[in-house]
Amino acid sequence: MVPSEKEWADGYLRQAQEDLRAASEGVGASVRAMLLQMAFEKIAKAALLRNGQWGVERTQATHRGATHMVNLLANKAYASKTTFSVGTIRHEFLPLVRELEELNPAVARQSGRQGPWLEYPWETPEPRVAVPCEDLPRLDRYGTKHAPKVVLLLRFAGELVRNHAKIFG
Amino acid sequence: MSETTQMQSGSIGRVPSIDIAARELAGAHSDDDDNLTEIYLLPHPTEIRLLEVTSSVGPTGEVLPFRFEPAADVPYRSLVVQLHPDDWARRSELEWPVELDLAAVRQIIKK
Repeated sequence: MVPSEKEWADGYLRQAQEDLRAASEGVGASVRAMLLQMAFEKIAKAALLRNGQWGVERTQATHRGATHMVNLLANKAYASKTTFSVGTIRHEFLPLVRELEELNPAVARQSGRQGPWLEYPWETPEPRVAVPCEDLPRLDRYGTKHAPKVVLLLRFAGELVRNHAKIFG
Repeated sequence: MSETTQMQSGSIGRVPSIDIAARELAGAHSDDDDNLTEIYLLPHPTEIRLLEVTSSVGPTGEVLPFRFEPAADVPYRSLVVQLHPDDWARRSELEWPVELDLAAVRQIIKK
């Protein structure tokens, strides 16, 4: 029997929870940023799978859902399903989630960029090989698990995982 | 537009029709997203379906529908697709889920 979309969605959420747990540990800033990006991507994929409009294969192929999902959550009716305000979601979380999504290597390549990005080294115009843990712009924001924005973003993502069925069906 | 009356939690509550609820939800989305320029309604018998054109999302070339459970002010499930204006302009080139029939859309908000 082929696993259902719901089973796939649950699988994505379980792994997102593990990504978030790891991001809460004492990892480096570039790894924390990558884990946050991966967690939001999986939460969005789980939501896309739950609504049944696209199948598993199509959903697996997209890396673009997180910004769409958070932009929609930044509306009163949907934000009310979380403990965060529209303003916090729109002005604090959305720019970070958008930035992280753009730093996904697959998304960057689709946009015609050759770096910088999360996870892998890239070649700079000099040319030299740059790596995320040394060269990612504005990396300091993800530098500590106690940084206010990181704490809030982790809490937000955790809520989306725990309340996924209540929010997205 | 007609409204239905139904029993909710022991009291009589007036539940707006899907069409009215959709227009209210679209208005709220328009208020919350300054970059939103157009909203279309995709008629459906049991849930609100909206197609929103906004530059708050990037031009992805993908149709990404998100469904939300009913909320305090939204008594129906709602399925929303957001497209960047560039993607909306080339909508006929995009791959759409079979359930979302572009031929049936009605514009309900234009800023």
